[in-house]
Amino acid sequence: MKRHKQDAFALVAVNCHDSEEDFRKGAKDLDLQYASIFGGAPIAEAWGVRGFPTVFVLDREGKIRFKDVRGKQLDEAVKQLLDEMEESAE
Amino acid sequence: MLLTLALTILLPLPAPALADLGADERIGDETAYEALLDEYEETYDVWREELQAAEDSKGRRAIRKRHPAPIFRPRFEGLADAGSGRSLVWLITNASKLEKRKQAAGLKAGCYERLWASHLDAKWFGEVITMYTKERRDVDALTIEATLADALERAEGDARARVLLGLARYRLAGKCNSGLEFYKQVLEEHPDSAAAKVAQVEYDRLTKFAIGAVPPEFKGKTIDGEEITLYGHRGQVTVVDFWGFW
Repeated sequence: MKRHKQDAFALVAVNCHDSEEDFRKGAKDLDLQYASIFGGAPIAEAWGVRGFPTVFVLDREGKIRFKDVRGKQLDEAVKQLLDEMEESAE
Repeated sequence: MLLTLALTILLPLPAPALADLGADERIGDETAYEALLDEYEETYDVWREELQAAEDSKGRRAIRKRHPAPIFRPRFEGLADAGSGRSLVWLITNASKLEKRKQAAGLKAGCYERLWASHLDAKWFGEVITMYTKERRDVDALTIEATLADALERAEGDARARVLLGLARYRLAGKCNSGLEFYKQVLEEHPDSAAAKVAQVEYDRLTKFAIGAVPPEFKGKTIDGEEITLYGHRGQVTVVDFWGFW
């Protein structure tokens, strides 16, 4: 069940505007656990992102369901979408 | 003969550029303003340091009374009278330092009136439109609407694109979806303007990247060259996280 949930969730990180040096140093300091797109400024621009961090949460159909959620709200948003997925699978 | 022919062919092309130059001249040379602004900012920094160094609230109060803006005001007004639109913008942004609340609103209104009348074609006018349409406290909504409508009638080219962009934002800020139509108008009627680039991003944010929309695919690479795509995660709940250290 837990395993299933992990497969059902993905994080797509897009780093913008940092130099390679800053990125490598920052990633090390933060102990970055996931892969991130580097040099993603053009993507951010196309998506109309004006500040960082900016987060979009997409459901399994790829539809944007939440924007600019943080912390607890983000956890809840992801949980809601995962629950929806399970309900429709049943 | 050849030269005349060449000229007849070439002349229609530079004509718009010449018209722009004329407009710029009418708007007024801003070099005197730039110099005065530098001088003001230097004075302001000195004053600010003095304020921060003040020992007690009494000292701070005394220094606050000597804000440099009122001292510089006559010189900015002089430049404004000589045709400097940037000086009018300065008077507006500093109005609260120059006058008490009610009079400040009056000062702003007067400066805006002059800006809309004479500086609509300035490259920096988009900034004025943004400021003006946020003055809900000092300018009533009907006046804002009327001013924008009037400007739309008069403005041409890039100036018109800027007014349309301002209208789009103003309507949307008031939760009126007709704003989207103005974005479309900028894109359709002034596709090459600087305002169109901004309009495209803002329009996309509200349509392609709105809640409920399926955003287009993107591809990127990690710092080590591994490819990451958005659509690679279809079927999963996906968090797209734009981040940066700076």
